[in-house]
Amino acid sequence: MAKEIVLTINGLPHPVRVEPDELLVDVLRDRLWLTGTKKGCGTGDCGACTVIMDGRPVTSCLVLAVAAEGREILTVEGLAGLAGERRSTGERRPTGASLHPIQESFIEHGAVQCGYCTPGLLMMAKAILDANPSPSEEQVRAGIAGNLCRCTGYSKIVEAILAAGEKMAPEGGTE
Amino acid sequence: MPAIVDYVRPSSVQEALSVLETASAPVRVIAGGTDLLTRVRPDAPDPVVALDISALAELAGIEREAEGLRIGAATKLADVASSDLLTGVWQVLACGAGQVGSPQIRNLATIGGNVCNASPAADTIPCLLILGAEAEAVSPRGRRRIALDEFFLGPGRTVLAKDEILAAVYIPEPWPGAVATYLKHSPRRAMDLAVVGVGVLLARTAAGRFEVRIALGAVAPTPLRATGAEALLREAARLDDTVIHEAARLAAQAAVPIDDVRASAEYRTEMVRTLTARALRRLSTNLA
Repeated sequence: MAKEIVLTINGLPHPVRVEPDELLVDVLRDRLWLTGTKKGCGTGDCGACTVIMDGRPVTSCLVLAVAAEGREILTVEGLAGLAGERRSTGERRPTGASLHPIQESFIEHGAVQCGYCTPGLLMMAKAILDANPSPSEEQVRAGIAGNLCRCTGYSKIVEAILAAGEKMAPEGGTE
Repeated sequence: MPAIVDYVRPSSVQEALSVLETASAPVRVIAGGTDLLTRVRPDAPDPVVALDISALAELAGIEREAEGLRIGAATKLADVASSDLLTGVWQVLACGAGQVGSPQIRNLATIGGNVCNASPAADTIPCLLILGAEAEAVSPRGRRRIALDEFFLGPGRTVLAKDEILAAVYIPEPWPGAVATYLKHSPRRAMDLAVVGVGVLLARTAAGRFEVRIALGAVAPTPLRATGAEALLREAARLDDTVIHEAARLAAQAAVPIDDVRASAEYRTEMVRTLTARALRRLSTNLA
């Protein structure tokens, strides 16, 4: 029995008709064309689908789309100053060309190889730094424990997150 | 294997219980969904109605009460892990909750789900058992309290009736000066089920003896207490190496593990012995 719901993503409402068993990750990617969020496993084991929901990082493959209604959802598309886009208008309008400091840091530190884990790690990094602006290396490693990376060996990712924290601290917020 | 054909998010426990009674298809309670959603397939043969209890006020939050602590079943594991109310020996539950899955999983998963999913390897259960926890179940027939020692029937099976929902777990005031630890043995520091889980709580009695609870995870069809080891320790005058060695041996005897992809039964038995001894040594130092 399909339901009409409204998902609030990156500050914008997205009305969508979904089946009760549709996962948030699939609705983001296949229905709303927000393909920045990746689906690596579908069982919550890899973290590639991480989004931030009501301020908490969660694996969107373990969230029913119907359960995500009424919540604030931040995806990787929302990091870069893209205000979001509506498929119905086909508009793709960046409000600014700048990247988020975390994204800049990942590039500067060579923390992106194949890129498939990257959106999930960017969102997790944001969540870590939002909660703790000056984490230790151990705290960063614990924070990304739910994100698998096949390519980098994690060192560059950890460096990038620590460096991003320094870029964003002390009074600079995370936006 | 279930397929979710409908989704209901009730706004009260009454409404939730009513759905359990009157739904047209079998109902599966969902809170965080971190276990259920790994098992559903769109084309699976068993249609179910997903009953989302995650927002029910009565199931939310951790509260200090006269007799101890009440933890609502829908409390997220991340919140259990970081709660200021889990003071003193209750910290062991925060420790166990904080080792489930990953940060992302803990932001969805609930303590009620970890308990009702009833995996023999669940991390919160040995911690709850050594803290002497009780479960509170609610149904159209009223409420009942169940000692958690009596809650589990087998892998994935609890004593909850089809029309019952777990509302909360209650943790009583501990013995004065009690200390506890939960040791989870797993290949990685996150994202793994426990290969072996050992929870130990130790306290001195007024008479200078020991009060103790030992709970084992992942080594039997349900989490279980190592009662033989406990009995030995209650008779001991001192926790010296001989006593600890013997208690650990008895704990290993209580384990009835299986061979599976994560470990052999033989290895698990050995690790019960090792971790029980390690926990007792550490705690006896803390207690001294």
